[in-house]
Amino acid sequence: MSLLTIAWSMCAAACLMLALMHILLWLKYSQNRVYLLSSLMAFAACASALLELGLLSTQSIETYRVLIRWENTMIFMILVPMVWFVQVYFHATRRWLAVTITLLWCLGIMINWLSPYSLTFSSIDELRRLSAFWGEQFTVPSGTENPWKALADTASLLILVYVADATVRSWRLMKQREALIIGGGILLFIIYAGIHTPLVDAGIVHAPYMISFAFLAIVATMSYQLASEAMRAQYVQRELQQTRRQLDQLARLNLLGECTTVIAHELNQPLTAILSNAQAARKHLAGNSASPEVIGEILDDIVRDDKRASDIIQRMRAMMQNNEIVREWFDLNEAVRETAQMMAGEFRTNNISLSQSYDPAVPEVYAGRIEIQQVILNLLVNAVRAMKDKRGKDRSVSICTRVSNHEVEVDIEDNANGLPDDADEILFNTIYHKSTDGLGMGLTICRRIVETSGGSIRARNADTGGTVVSFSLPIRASTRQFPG
Amino acid sequence: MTRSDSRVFIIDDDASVCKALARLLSASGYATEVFHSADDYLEREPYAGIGCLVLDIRMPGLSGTDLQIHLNSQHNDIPVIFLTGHGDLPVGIEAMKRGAIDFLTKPVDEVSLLDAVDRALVKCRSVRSEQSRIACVQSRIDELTPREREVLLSILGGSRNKQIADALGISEKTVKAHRGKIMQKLNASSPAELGWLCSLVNLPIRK
Repeated sequence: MSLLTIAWSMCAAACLMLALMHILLWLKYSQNRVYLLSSLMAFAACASALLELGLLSTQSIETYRVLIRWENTMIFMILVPMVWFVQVYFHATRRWLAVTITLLWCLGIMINWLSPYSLTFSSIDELRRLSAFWGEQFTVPSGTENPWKALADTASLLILVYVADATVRSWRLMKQREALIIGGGILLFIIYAGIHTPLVDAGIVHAPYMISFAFLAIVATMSYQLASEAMRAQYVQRELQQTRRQLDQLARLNLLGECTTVIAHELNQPLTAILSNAQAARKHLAGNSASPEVIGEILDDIVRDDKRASDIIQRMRAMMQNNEIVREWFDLNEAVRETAQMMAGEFRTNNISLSQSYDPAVPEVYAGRIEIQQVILNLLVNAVRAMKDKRGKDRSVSICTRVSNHEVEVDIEDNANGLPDDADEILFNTIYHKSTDGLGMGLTICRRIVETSGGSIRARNADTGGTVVSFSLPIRASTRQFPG
Repeated sequence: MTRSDSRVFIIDDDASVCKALARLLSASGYATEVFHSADDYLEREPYAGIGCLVLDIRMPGLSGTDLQIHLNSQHNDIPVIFLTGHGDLPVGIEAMKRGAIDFLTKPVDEVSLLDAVDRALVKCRSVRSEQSRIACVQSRIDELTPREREVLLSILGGSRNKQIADALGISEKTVKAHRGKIMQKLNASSPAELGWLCSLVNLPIRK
């Protein structure tokens, strides 16, 4: 087998492989046209290498005529996508230049197919056979140059200008690596091809056309850069995902911490009762004043308080479980009611009246039930805290659910002092230190939870002077309407 | 110990906590009374005997802190022990500044609780005996005639017999007689004791 056949076939194979790789990348990141363009270039380069091999080995002018037309077409199919690749990749500004180059080449390719001997030649007189230095023979045409070839040369010159411009701009924008590898690579090999090919055409250099290798080199440098970018992007994304997961977990712990304070307070009551009861029983027994009835009564009370404590712990555990959000269909009214029930003691001891109104038309929603309950609990805890500064008897919190415009809405309103004017942004967006209670942090997490379920959350001042925090969840297409 | 003559008032909104505390305290020999809110306690007729409050802070209606402030404003000096689920330091400091005996957190151990109750009752007892002494002195002072009161005030003001006699337009001998009568009525053996007794009832030095 001849060395030429081996070399050009390998070049074609390499191009094909790169083309497939870019197609895969494009399928994976289908948003990114860069991969599509570069794979088009690589496919065309593959075809070009095979055509070039044909040109080098054919001895018939007729075949040569057909092959060179196709070869020019492939060059067109490499250069035009390359220009647009540069346009997309560097976000180049001179779009008109890219359009001009494309139009010039379109015209060139029409001429290529209309004129008898392609865009390159107006006539081919003979095919000469030359010897490579290792003795293998190859074909070189000799004929008259097509005057329309100036079109292609102009286009090539414009490509040089265009790519150089885009490269310099990108270099200035501190994207030196990209500019150097992609821009520099393209320029280098275009210049090489632009010098080598005319020399062969003019018969000055006795060597085969080697455009395919220049294109292979361009596509390979592109692949190198694009692949390393894709890998880096993936790495960064993984890092980001991990950070976000950790942050979420931290945030959930924080939220739980706030809720736990409430629950721990409740737990204190039965524990106090149990301890005092047990110590009373011991005193009775030590003083010989114990009748079995009294001791039995005390033990009954201890058992009851213990059950009460374990109920509280059960509830707390339900809140702590499931580190992953489990989405399910659930009755929002019921979830809100349950959470309000959890806070009943807190409301009572803080002397706050709680009014609840549930719209029976609220359908089941699809979200993380526990998370949504945490949000509600957090908002209720916030409402109680807001009330801390408000003395007097008329402390009230109202909870209300309703349906509006394909959404269900839950409003939690207090009648404390309300918010400063610009609080909505601050409350939900940053770690808002209104007090040392970490109030704002809780809201940031609430927002995340609600938004992950496709809803939204906002705060505003109520007409009564207090604050209304409302969150909404989308009503998803579900046939499962809940009667209420 | 005379625990049974003293009474512990337990005020907590949690019924089972109240019941258990009452049990423990009565097993330790105290008489107890339970209230589920500060308002309920205030409705009870005022208690003048030896006693103390075991008081929760967070309750529906009047809070424990509010009750303490209210009692202070009424000059009701029954000692207060706070027993709360929230070991909130600033609240505790405020409560202690207002004269609370102790600030205990739930769940409370009997040793701490009984110790606090004992201290409260000791304080209550000394306050009560002080009060009865003051009442006694006051009633004796009330027995003085107007003229004797005038002489007493002058003595407390540091005047000599001669000066008093001149000021009141009476003889020095009469002043001496009044003086003896006053000492006798107030059961004082020296002018110094007389001064001390009068200071108990905040008798003005100068009129």
